[in-house]
Amino acid sequence: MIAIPYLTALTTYFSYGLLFAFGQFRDFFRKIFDWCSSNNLQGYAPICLGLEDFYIRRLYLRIQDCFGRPISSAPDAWFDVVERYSNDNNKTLKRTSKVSRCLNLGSYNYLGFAAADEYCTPRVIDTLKKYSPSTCSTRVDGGTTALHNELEECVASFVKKPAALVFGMGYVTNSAILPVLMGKGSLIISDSLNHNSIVNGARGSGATIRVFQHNVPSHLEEVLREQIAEGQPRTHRPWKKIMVIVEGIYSMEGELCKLPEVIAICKKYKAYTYLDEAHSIGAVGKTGRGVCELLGVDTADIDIMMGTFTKSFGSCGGYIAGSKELIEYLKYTCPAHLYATSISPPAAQQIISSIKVILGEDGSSRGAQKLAKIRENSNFFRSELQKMGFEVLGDNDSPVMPIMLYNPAKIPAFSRECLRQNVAVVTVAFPATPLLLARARICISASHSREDLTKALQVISSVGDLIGIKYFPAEPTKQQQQDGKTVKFE
Amino acid sequence: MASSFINFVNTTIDLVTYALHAPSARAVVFGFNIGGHLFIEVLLLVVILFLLSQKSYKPPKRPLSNKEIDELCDEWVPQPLIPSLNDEMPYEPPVLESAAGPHTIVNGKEVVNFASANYLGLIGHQKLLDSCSSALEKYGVGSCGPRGFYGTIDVHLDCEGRISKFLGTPDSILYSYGLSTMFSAIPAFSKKGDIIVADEGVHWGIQNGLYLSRSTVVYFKHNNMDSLRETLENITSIYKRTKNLRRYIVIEALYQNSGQIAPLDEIIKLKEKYCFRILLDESNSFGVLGSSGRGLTEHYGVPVCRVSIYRVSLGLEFVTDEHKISGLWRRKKEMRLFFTGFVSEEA
Ligand SMILES: Cc1ncc(COP(=O)(O)O)c(C=O)c1O
Ligand SMILES: Cc1ncc(COP(=O)(O)O)c(C=O)c1O
Repeated sequence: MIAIPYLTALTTYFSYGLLFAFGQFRDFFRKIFDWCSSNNLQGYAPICLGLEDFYIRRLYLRIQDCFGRPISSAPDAWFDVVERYSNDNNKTLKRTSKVSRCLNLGSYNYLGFAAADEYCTPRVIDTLKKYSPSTCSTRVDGGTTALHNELEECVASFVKKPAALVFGMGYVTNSAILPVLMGKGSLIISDSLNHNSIVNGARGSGATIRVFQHNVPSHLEEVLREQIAEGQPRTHRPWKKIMVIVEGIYSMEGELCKLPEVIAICKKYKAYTYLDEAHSIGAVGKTGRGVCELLGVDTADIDIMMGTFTKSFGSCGGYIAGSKELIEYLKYTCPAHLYATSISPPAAQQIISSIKVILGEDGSSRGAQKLAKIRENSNFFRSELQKMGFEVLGDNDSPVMPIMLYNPAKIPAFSRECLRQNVAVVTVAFPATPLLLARARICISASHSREDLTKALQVISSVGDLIGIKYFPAEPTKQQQQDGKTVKFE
Repeated sequence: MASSFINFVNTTIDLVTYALHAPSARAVVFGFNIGGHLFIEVLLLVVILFLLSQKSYKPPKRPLSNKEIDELCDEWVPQPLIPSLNDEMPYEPPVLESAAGPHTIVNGKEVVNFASANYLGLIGHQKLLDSCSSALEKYGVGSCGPRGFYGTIDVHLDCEGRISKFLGTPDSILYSYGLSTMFSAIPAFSKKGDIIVADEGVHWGIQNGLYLSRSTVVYFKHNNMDSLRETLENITSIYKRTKNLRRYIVIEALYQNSGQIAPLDEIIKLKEKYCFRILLDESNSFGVLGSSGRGLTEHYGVPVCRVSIYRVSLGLEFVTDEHKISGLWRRKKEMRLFFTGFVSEEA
């Protein structure tokens, strides 16, 4: 629940209204011009239709330079951002050969494995030489190497589950697993802010989908009771099975899932649980084992644990961990296992090595240091931002911290101004967030040093003053309610 | 007997009519003699109004009490998450102990590999390995972010440029995984209400994309041009009046499931006739068909601009330097989707 001050809500609506009105005005003239110069594709409907097209042309393209900035180095604590310029009002951007060295507050490089690592990289290169970059085949044909089996064992023991199965991409993991497990007559209860891959998987499964309010266990219970009592719509037969899907850390909110409460409710109502640990695995917990470890939940209580290797491990791919029978069944039925090329061997090696580093099996204490560092960095950065008066979302210990911007004009302003001062941040707006709740997102990494963070804080503070996003009074009191004059927004 | 009964009935009717006429017998409104109708009609109106004013009967609503819900929840028994395993399910695929080249090692024995789609035999090519290692050293393995948020690396852009040049398309975009390309690309271009005609034999990734787009999907018989023509004819006649309907034909160049090649020249003719766009999946034919490996369009000598959206798989066979770099460098969705004009946002 985010509370927006009335005035901000009003100005935000006003800005979007203005953008929309001007866009429509310009489109009106464009239509007249188009009408004069006759259309050349007779008989075909345009590929992009209506509002979507309008949104891209009139809103997105104007601030296109804030997104998709190319980089030309590894996404480490500091990286090279390629400069781009535009001659046609941002419609197309051209790359230059100039780069600027920026502090990276945007990548999901939580543990700092994105850059070359003294332990991982040599092993990855050896693997590349031994197995070559790709297997060119699916897992069931000729795409299983000894490395893949080792990786699955390694992941299973890391997340403390009996067995695991890996896929070449996290997105595919979610969207291919759910249709296998759920189908007609089953019910999926999903958090309202779940990632798009989960939404896609749930839709693809053909099961009924209900949504509960983001991170509100009491609402989950309400929905569960209502659904079990009513059964399937129209036929009122009992549901075949019910699955509750939550994420460990919500990437746009920085919040930790209220896992213990959710698990207790699911157990009480006999619903299955599916936990997506994309952002939390490796990044939180004493030994990096994710939210379960952090919040003290027994992994045996969770039926299906999913996660990705794109974030903390600096590789690619995703995994599913669960009981031996579950994995056996998935191996037999899951399309992503049967039809998609297996994960590339060097990427698999990167995961194995980074897990070894995290667990200290490489013979050093670097893993433990990294974990301590990211926790310390995150908590330091979050508390400093809050002290300055920014509206920061999310929980302590979470390395993701969104700063609310609200007004659409502040999105490019914040992003460009920070980049000018060599700090690269990510800004997120509609459609990834609700229209009113545009934000900047900061991802802290274990590879940031204290000086890096201090510099980042200085820059963000000065930019924050410039564009007026310190919505709370600065310093001591962390008054979250602004004298009652707030609009509630889910 | 019968006639006396009829007489009786007639007299009764006469009497009743007279009695009804009596009150308004001489009433004349606007020069019309109203007769007894008015009386009856007013009576009917009163009855109707009375009935309307009554509430319709509803069974009393008694929501379930908390206790009843508790009981229902207790009683409910879910099915197991997965059906019980049977004997044929466990299947151990061969485990390779070396690269998936033409010869590989399984269980310590050297075997000839017919399972990998290493069509051009580029696995183990020294130049590739060198360029991959240097890329790994420079960029690490993962990009740690989606394309929009600092996950775009200069080699991605170079690679996209090369691909579009190689194929002769205006632009191209790289996705990080073959399977996901179609199921993010199709829903981006085709929404509810649009029409897709697809071959029966397309890959699972495409089928899933078709399902997710919620468009009207019609399948035609695998690689059968008569069936395609019929389907298109039908659809065109059904939807003659609907404007702004996006229509697509989805085919694979070289079908993964059957090994057949789609007759692109005929499909192009049909497509032009019925105003459809073609979505062509070149996963298995890119780098294989055509005299210089440019895929199906080259195979048939069709200009690329006639195909609206192209999509080529990298994981399978085509292994150039860039290609492999991106193969490792899988970011959000890296694969190749070549399309004329528009660059969609990632889902
Ligand atoms: C919750 C969640 N699940 C899945 C994914 C997809 O992972 P990948 O980037 O490997 O496709 C993401 C990535 O952003 C995510 O945040
Ligand atoms: C038509 C088609 N689509 C998608 C894929 C999957 O591509 P990738 O192996 O690169 O994941 C394949 C190949 O397996 C395919 O043949």
